[in-house]
Amino acid sequence: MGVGYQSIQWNRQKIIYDAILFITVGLYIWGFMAVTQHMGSDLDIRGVRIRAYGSAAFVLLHVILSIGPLSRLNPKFLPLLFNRRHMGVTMFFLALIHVAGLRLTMLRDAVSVVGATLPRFPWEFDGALTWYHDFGNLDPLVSLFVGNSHYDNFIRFPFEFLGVIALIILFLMAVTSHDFWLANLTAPIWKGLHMGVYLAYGLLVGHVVLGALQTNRHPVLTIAVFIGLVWIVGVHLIAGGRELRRDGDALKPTPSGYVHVGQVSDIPENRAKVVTFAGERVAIFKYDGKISAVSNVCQHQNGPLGEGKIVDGCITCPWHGYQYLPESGASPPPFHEKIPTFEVKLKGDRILVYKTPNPPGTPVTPAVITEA
Amino acid sequence: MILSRRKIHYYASVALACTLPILFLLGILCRPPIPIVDESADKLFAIANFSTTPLTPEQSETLSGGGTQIQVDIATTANGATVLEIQPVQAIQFSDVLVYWQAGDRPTETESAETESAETASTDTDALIIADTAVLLGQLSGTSRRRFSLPPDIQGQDGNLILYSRGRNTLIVILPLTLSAN
Repeated sequence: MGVGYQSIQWNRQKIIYDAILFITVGLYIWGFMAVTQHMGSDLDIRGVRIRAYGSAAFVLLHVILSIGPLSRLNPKFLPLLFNRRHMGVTMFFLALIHVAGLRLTMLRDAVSVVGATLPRFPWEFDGALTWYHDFGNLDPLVSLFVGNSHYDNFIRFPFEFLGVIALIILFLMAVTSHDFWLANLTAPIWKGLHMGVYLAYGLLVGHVVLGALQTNRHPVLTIAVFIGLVWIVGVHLIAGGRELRRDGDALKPTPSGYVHVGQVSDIPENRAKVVTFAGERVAIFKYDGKISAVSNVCQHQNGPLGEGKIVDGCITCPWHGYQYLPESGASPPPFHEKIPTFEVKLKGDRILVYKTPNPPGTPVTPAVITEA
Repeated sequence: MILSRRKIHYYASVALACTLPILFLLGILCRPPIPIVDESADKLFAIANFSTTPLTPEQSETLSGGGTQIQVDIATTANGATVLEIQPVQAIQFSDVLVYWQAGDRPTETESAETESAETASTDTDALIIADTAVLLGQLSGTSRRRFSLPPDIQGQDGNLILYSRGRNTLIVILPLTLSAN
């Protein structure tokens, strides 16, 4: 939260998350190499290495793109969302290594000091740019764009170009992934920028279909890419459609300006009911015999506060644990995030929320629940 | 997310759902056929100096220098021609590698230049240049075994094999070799 700058606020969960991530990626690359070498002895091993990293990035992109909609459909997936940005940055570096290769000679030299020898792969190998474009008399980057000039032909289209555009998008996302950029760009702009991942995904499907699938015709690879495509598009359509339908059920205010949002008994203790009016979602929390209404939008990454709960007297965002006091919409000191609050009143068991939000951080007297 | 971003997300999903399956199906259905290499390609390999039929070498040695190591065999074909076969032990990391033979002592910079880029040559070939009298035998690539015809007038001579990258205008290495007479 917004206090005492720390570049990365490491905690046990993040370390475990990253350890699982790196071990899984390492095992994937090792397994990819072992299986492909086992399957054929006449393979171009350098091409296999390039595809090991490329496919690792592509698979990881599928995992990353699955987490968001799955979290919308089932809260059990929320822990995966917590550190998704590390996954995204890892994915970018895998894609970059796929393109530019790797030169960790210092690591090999360091190991050789103690008499051991590391194999060249995965510490040193040529990426696609070097291996396919650096043996001619053209600069590799020039060769990349002019080596195949069939820009007017669908099936012979230079698939590398699609990958380059996607890599640029992923680069922009990786460099702005830190909370520093999130805070300075503001969450809506940051979110908009990071929605470029959908364009990048489309470009990368094109990169794979017009690239790897043209030469590698094994049906398993074709089916795997197709299943991945159907899965990602399907799960996003289901989750996105459900969210949009919820937004379509917007409540209308009464002539007095209050909106009837439901009954007190609708809301479990320390939880919220989320409704839509005034052009955005509002979370109505029940806690300690009181009712408070705040914007459903967390200031950090616009997470759904109403799907969180009251922890230690604070509304706690389910995405990254940002906290707000329900009476004021302000984060407890020393933090300084603020969200809009709403006037609330009760008529019997009915909860009425005023249609217009108060400025962020405005204290509001909670409605007190009286036993009938 | 805020409402406007949720809408963007949904419409982006719809756009992907409309375009990606079409892209995928077109990409699979329009895959151009890839010709399979059969016996008809043997002529092309022979033109490119690939060694397709094994010969018994009359002279065989491994030459190394400047980080390059090659296996060199001299043999006689069924029709009586003397050939030189060269196979790099490790792939030569240069493009468009040309093989020259130059009789006499190791070439020096005083000899006439074929290229101005000799200054970019590798460590022990710095400032060395290819003479106009050098004979171009053919080309090498990767670790493929290549066969080169030896003109009768250079057989039995002492001289040097010169590996030169046309792609990078770089002298790769000069290796002394005596071509045994048939």
